[in-house]
Amino acid sequence: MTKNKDVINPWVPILLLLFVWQVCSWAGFLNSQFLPSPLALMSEIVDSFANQHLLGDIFASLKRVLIGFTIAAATGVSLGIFAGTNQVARSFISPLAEIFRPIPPIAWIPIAILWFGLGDKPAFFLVFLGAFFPIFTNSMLGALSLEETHRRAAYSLGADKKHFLADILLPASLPHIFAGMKIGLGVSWMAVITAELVGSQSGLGYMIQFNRFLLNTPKVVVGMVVIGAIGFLLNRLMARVEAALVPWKDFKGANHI
Amino acid sequence: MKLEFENVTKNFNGRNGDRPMVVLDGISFGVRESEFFCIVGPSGCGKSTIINLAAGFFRPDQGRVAVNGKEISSPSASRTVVFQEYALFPWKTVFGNIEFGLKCSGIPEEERRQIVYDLAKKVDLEKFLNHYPAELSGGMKQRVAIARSLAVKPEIILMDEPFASLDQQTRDVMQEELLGFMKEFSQTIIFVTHNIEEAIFLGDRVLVLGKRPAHAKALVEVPFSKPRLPQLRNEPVFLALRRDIGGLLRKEAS
Repeated sequence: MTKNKDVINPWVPILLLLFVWQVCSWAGFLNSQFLPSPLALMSEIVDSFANQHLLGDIFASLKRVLIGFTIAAATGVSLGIFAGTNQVARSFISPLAEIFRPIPPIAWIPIAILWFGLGDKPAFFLVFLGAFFPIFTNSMLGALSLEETHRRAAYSLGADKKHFLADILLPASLPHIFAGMKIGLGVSWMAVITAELVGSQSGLGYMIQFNRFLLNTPKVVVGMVVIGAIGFLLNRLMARVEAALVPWKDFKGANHI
Repeated sequence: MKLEFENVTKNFNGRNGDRPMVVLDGISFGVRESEFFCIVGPSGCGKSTIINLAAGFFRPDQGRVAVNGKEISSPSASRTVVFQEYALFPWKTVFGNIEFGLKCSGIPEEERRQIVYDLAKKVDLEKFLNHYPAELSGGMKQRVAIARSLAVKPEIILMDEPFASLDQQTRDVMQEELLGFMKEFSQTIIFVTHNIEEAIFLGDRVLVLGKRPAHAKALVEVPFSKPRLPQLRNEPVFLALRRDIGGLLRKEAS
């Protein structure tokens, strides 16, 4: 019944890294042309927010992730649960998933641009591709992890298909579904940056690429830092949602009752 | 007869190429209305298979399993099951677990709440309605499972070694509690166990099974009236009956 608490506050290692980095910059170990110091970055970030481009780029990237990820979650969870409960569907879909999954989103860029042109659409597509497979696979494992006694208990209590799905199969799969969504959201965030590096006129990926051409290294690093920070926050957000929707998960061995 | 097994045979497929394993070999017995019917037999003799057939999880290979004269074809809320490993839904609270069957039978929310609350009170869990199963002890979990199986007002409750994972003290208390609150209910109960004392203490009749393939060794009328008090366990007649059934089973084991 112990909760999984972090032993160390997550901000401690982050602040420590920034501190060491700053000290190295002061001591002259780091060439500011190649890697600006944290304090210099801070003023760059303030400046980037002030001239309003950064906020717009953040929203552009977040919007693409939100849409692509939502589509991936909806299709991934439904197909995954379906494949997990239906052996014919599973043996049909699994080989296809196994073939498409190893192709990284970046390899899809030429095709995505060919099919969807530039702008939001290829980014939606790449985000979807990145998020779909972990969500699909984990949802399928979730449905397969349903214990036989739980299935039997449900049916002997009079469950029909609807109640079985909503009250038994779906909640039993939720811990796995969330594992998939956490991975999927992380991959989504990487995929959107990738998409924007090449096929877009806005977003954090575009901002990095743009500043690279201007040889503005500090702004490139600002883009990277913001990407890291938002990825970190997205993961935390997902953990919050999970804690709210899977409250029984924190109990030891809760899936073997 | 409430529930009837007529010449029931059940095989399970062996691993690739092995001959199918005969688990039940032409077993017959009948359970009366409102009877507490215990089945006792050595571990692995196929007792659980009887529960699974009666619940409708399996179909017999030969013979017939019938309730009220009608052959069983699938699971139904008129025959609920209490499992050894509790099988509570870990994602539902105590309330949600007891409520689930009522929800499935379409009972309105207000009425469900009332039924769950009344049952929880009977099994002494009304303070734990918002707890998750993982927060409960083994005995409490099994009380939830019993309340859950009673909530839908089944005709028959099938109990598959429900107290086997509990320690001796908790098991004795649970047996006494079970007899206590079953007084208020008229369900027919089929109770499977490997514990002879448990079978005699609880049962109106005890079916003694032999080793696999399970076959009926004896059908014993238990001569004690109900309510039964804990000290019955030490009465000479009780101990003698226990010894007799033990003898039957020991012969079987050697």
